[in-house]
Amino acid sequence: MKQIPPCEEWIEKISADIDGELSLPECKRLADHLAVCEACRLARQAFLQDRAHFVAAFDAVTQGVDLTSSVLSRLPRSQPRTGLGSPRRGRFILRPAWFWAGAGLAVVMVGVILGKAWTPRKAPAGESLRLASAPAAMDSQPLRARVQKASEPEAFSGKMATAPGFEDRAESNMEAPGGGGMMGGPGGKGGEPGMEGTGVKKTPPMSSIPTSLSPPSDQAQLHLQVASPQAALIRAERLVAEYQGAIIRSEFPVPGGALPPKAAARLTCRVSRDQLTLLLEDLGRLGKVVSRQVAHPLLAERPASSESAKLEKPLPAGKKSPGAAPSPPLATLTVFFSGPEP
Amino acid sequence: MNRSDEELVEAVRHGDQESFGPLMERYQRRMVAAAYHLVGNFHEAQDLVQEAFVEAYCSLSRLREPARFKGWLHGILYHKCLKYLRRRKPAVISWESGELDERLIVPSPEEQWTRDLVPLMNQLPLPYREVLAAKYLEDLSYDEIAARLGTTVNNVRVRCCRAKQELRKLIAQAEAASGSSVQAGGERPR
Repeated sequence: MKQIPPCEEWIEKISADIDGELSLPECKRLADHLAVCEACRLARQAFLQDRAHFVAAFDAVTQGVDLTSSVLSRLPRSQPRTGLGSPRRGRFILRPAWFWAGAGLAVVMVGVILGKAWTPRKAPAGESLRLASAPAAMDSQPLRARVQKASEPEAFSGKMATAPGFEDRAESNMEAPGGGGMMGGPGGKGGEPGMEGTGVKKTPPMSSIPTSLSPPSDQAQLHLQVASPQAALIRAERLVAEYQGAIIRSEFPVPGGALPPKAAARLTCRVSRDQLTLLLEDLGRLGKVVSRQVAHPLLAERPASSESAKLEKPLPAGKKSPGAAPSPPLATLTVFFSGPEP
Repeated sequence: MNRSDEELVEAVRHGDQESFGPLMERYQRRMVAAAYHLVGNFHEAQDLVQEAFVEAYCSLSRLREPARFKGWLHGILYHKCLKYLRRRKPAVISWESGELDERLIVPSPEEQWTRDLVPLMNQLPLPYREVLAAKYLEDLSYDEIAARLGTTVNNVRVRCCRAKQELRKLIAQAEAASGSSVQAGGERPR
């Protein structure tokens, strides 16, 4: 005999009733329905039987199961007291704090590093010498040694006007008759040792010339004694080109009145300040170095007489010299070529 | 004198490890049954229950409402079972290897009687097994089941009804195949 299926709309209520999840009004309505519906009564009976089968089967399986001694032997000696500071709570609350603190620090550090890496060198004039104290200075000599050498009169034999807008001033100085300009040293007119005939001997060796003060200043001057000024001028032009420099003026012969008096040729160019030291080294191989001067922007703001003393006392960090203007990224180099001495 | 779950839990929290024993004795059988129903392996079910008890003991201080110890304990077991099911590889039984458990070859009458039913129940889909184990073995309310499964009470109600209907079909087929219905209740053939 085929069983009649229960009513679709009541089957859920029958199931919930067996589970004890039916409200009292629903129970009453279900009872009314069951009183008149044979199929739903049978379905309810079947559900009850299945439930008994289900529970009995698993009860049979688990009869005799006793895990108490096994588990108790695995328990730690004392019940861990974690409380509010439990490891799990800490894991979910403190970890984000660590994460965000670390992430913030990392972002700041990356910003600082990138900022230093990408900021162009625009150090004010007063800071150039202090930068020389950085460990990454190009010269391997200790800073104090270099500063002391820089303060020697032989090294800085002339006061170089290196104030901002030096190009015009340099030109005017070079064109100014009688010295006192770029090549004019503190000693007065034509004070350049090389020009006096004894300067060659007094010229310090290349290694001791303070051109390696880093960062290089924005104005330099080199005087070479060569066999052929014209040929040296051409080679110098090539060197400047190799250093990606821009030639401003190449003169042979030099107009009358230019300094130094015996210079037969003159080359004025602009190169990167970072390349200046290396270029000076290469140019120095073209002939005998009569003089080599690297003007430091710091000096432009100070009296010539007190240069040496003030060089040994750099300005405190963060304090700019009054009136100092930011150095240009390019340096101007003037090379004089003079013929051999008769 | 039977102490309530709350009293036993508080005692354990205060360092009385022995009070954990009665809690285990109270729930271990149903827990093993529920785990067995979920994972389908009796030995694995026992291991999972032991792990659940140890974890519960270690985490007892985090139980905010000691009166709800039973539901909390079954929740730990439930998640352990789900984790086991996720990482379990399908078991391959080779009849030629001779590695079969002897119980499968010569089952006792008790096991044979159980095997008539339990495999049927374990054929149900996991969503149905979850609600049947929670309702019949753990005796949870629809609200508690819904909270565990992350669903609504109405959904649990519908799912329970469908699970019962599926179970009814399976048992009816087994009865038709054997020619006689399985005896319900505590009278097990021996």
